Amino acid sequence: MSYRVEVSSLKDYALINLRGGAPVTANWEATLDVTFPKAAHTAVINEAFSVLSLSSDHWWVRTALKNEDELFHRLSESVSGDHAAVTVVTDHFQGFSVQGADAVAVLRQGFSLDLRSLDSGQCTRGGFARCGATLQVVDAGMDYEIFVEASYSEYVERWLKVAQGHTV
Amino acid sequence: MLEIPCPWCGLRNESEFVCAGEADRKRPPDPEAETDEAWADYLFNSTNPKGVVREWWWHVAGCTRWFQIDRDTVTHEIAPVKERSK
Amino acid sequence: MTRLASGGVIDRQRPLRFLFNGKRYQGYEGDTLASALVANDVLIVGRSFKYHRPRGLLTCGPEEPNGLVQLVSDGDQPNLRATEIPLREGLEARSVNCWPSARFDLRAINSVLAPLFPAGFYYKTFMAGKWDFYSRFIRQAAGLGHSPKERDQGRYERVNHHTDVLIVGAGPAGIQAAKVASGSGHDVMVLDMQESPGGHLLFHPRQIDGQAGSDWVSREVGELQDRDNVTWLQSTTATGYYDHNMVIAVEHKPAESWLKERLWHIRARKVIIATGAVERPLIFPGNDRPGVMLADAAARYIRRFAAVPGKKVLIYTNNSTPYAQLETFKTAGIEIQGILDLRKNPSEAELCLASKLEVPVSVDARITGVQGRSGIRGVTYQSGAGSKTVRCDLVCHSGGWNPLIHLYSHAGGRSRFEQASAAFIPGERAQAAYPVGGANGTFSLAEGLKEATDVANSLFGESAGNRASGTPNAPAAEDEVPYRIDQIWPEKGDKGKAFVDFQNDVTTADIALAVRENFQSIEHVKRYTTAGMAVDQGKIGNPNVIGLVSRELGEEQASVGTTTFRPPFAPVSFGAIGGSERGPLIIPARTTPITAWNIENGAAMDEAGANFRRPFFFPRPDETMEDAVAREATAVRTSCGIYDGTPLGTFELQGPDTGELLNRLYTNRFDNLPVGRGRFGLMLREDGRLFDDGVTFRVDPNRYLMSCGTGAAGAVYAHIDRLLQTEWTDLKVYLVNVSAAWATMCVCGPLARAVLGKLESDISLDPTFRFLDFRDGTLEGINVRVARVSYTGELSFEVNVARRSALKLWKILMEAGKEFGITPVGSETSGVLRIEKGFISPGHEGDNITNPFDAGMGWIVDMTKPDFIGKRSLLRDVKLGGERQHVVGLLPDDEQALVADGSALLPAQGSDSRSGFQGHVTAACFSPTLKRTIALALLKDGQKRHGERVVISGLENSCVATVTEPVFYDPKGERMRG
Repeated sequence: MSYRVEVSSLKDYALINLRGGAPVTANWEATLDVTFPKAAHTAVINEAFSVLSLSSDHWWVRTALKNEDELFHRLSESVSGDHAAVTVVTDHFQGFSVQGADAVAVLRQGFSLDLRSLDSGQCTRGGFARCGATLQVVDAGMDYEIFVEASYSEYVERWLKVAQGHTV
Repeated sequence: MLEIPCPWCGLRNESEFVCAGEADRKRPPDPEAETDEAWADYLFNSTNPKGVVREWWWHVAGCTRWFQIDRDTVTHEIAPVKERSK
Repeated sequence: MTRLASGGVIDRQRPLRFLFNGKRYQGYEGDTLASALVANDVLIVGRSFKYHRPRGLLTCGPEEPNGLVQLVSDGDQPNLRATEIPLREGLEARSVNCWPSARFDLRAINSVLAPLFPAGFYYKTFMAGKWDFYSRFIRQAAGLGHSPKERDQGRYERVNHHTDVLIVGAGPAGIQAAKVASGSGHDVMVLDMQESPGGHLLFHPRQIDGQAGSDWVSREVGELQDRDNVTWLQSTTATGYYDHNMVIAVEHKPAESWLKERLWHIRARKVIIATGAVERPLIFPGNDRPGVMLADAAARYIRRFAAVPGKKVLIYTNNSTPYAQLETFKTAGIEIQGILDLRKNPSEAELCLASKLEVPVSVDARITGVQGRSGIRGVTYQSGAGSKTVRCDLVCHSGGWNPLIHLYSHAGGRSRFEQASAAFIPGERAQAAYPVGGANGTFSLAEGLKEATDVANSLFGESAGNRASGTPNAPAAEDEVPYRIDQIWPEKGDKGKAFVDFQNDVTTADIALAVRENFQSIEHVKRYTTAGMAVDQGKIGNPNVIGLVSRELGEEQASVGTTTFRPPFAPVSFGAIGGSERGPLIIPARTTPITAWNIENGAAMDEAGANFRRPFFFPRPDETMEDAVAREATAVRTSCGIYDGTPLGTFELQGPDTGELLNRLYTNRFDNLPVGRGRFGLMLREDGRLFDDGVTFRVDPNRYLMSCGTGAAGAVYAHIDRLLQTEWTDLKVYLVNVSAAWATMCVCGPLARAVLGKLESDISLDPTFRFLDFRDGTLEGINVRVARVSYTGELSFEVNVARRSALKLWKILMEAGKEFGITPVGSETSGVLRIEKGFISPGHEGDNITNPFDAGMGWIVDMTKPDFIGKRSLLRDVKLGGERQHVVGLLPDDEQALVADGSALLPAQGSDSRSGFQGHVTAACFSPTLKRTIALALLKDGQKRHGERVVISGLENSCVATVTEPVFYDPKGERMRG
């Protein structure tokens, strides 16, 4: 009667938005002791945090909420005074998990980008359900996470219900 | 629905972008040195050719980059423009 | 009941009852509504659009022009083709366009008045002035069915799909192309309009590779559907081909599915168009009579549905196709009265087929009349010198084949007239669209299969998959009779109406008249006669229209050209277009963490721009809007109000050049703003007009926080990002949108300090916390940033808090404020407070002409800065001088006057120096504080006219007002700074 998908709101995550060119990126890499993903749609996934590449000078550091303050300050201080931006955007976005055999059947109602091109572990940003979303592929075909601007969270929650075939 | 080649994200639907007009229109470095006519021309006029036009596009729903493409206004054939180094 | 005892795909074990025009009938599972009507001998299925002539089924497919019905039993859908509706138990349908019934239609009087309805009749008769009178009658008479009155209960969804190859049509050519393309390893999607694959093989028994065509179809399709890289959809119609290989298709789900229709937006790298061809009618007097049917359609009803459309058939043709169908008619037990062939020389092969079944053939024969109105009794024809009559109850005609080039044409491809097949076939290509088979004018099965193989091989044959397995060969097939056609037009001067467009009732006479009236372009003839403009979009009739126009003009058909086909190929329901984004999802509504609280606490909500809704005011029981607004405004002025300012845009700007950037964006300076302070800024467009305003704080030396109007936020973000990325690429600044990260609650009024003072906090509210300062700290343990900003003119604290803690803090503030009478206020109240204070709102006082000097905001424009956005244009304004509209205040003499925003201002009586329009009211309200009506306005030379009198001209009442300074309350701003 409807699609086989579980949708839930993500909780306890923190997002730190990084903007900066090569010199400051090196500082961040040193601070976190990790090589940043440099190619489009790529991400580096660690136990403590992930780094998502969103553009050539744009990353997200995704971590647990409890690490938010500490990571923000370390990243911020490592580029103090430079041409860079370190911003906590945790509350600017709301994350959703879309899991199940029909995950793509639900997501393709909102995304017009080619979902075939994204493998597990990749990420991108694109138009979604007229509000846009950042997409992280956990397990291609089966398990996805999307982040939408938080002011759209109630709308997207409802949108996802309808897209699954439920009545709201 | 055009398909626009974003230099970072790849091919995406036109609906993810904003077309920001002709790329040759550049803000004069010293606006006060411009005559009223030249200033008005910068503000309001486009060449609007039938054929290839170089345009700014903004991938607002994606990587938020501004980039240029050459678009044929007749056939909608699109050719990417090599990015200037910033 | 004329149903064969065996044959066809219908399931005789599963009878289905249905109602058509109120009468009960029975069909079988597997029938369409049309085939069930044929089997029940229902001849008349509708009435024509203009003359209301009785009409029968002409075709068996989506090109059907006559069998349009209202599907009452399924959401009361209008304007569906009976040939496309699968029969269901309990189905109920009605003819459209008939009143009171299809058999007895009162409006058939139009038919008697036919001479009064020539081409262009509407244009000529219902000229301006008369139209209002006539339209009432015409609108009642016209139209194809009626709109459903109930909400559609069906579910729809819209999906995006990407594929390497899209193949439209699963006839033999499409199947063969799919085989080659999928073998290459590419992702392949196949769409087919019918319930089952096979195309014309579903209707005509043919041999492919030495086996029955239907077996070949099942085997190939079965194999293809098992492949991982193949997506296969039946009952799916490609309706349009758009830019960059985007094809839109509607998938019709079976009745038992939870989904009714799915709209596919398909982006393909290559599109193979294998949509086949449809038969074209011949033009002869009475060719629209019920019982006159296309020959191929009749054969389809017999073969697929075992439904027999007549007992005695006369076949009329200009081409070879019907000769191959004689066997079908014969085995169905139809008596074949003969073939009337317009051509002088049918081929040996054709004549051989006829003589084998002992069917007489008259060559050079021409039908001159059809006897019978609601059913056929016979046909009069001319062959050689003599005129003869032959009895029959069915006329099957064939005027040749029209390749379905619609999608190719949508894509921008040209068509060209091919003399040999007398058809418009695909010409110069646009986009990656590749027509094969019937759609490409290749009507032979064998050649179509070969063409599909060759085209697919040339596109995909070189890829890895096919190199390994070897490129596939075309399967073998033979054609019973080679396709030959001779286009012979009807004689001029034949009596009786001969139709070229059945749905819009366009006759040969209309075409001739249009050309006589000097419509020479085929596009003009189309619009003047409306030929090809009905729901069927000229699928069957267009080439005939073009042929007749070329004859009238004495030109070649090739030079007359064809009209442009535009999407959709077949009608698309609004449900499919809307998908799931209807009802509560019709707009992507945005909320703040406080929205739900506001609604629970009785807020009347209003649009606030950028898809936000926010409280308009909070009416208590028995309060009018005016009462509520007065109460809320009074609370802010005398005690304490609170409102949710979260929808405002908030951007973080970081980097060493941020001060310089802000200097260039705003009219005033920002590089000298101390850390810990905020400043009000005015942003102009490059043309010097008001764009946005807001307060920007300096958080760190290199970090600023900018706020802007809710509705303008998107435009401001684009403006700044464009300048940073395209113009001022040397500036070291990054722009980050954090609008939704922060909730903003504004506690305002003389008791605001007392309310905040009740809370446990490390933020001191002493007098050193000045107007436009901000302080970071905690309130009741919650991290906050408190700023002294005022949009109301009162002492005001703006509390900024992370979204996660917003609702909690809001409730704490409400609780703390209880004893001080804290009152939630809505946007209408904010508007009143703004007008009282004369704060300029770019959305109201800015009318795309207003510059900051006009708005009395010269104080914030620093013309000594080297450059800022808008400065150059302001210099021109200043240089030109002249009379401009300025923002002023208005005090009407009638203190209770109701003044509407937008009211025009006129000179007061006795004013001799001015005349005509003087300006307009930009915002007006009843001020609860001043207990009188006040207004802001744009007035010519307003700054020089304080004390003068003007008339505020309303639609119902006008009043006289005195022009004042545009500040009505606390002009020195002592309250908000206090």
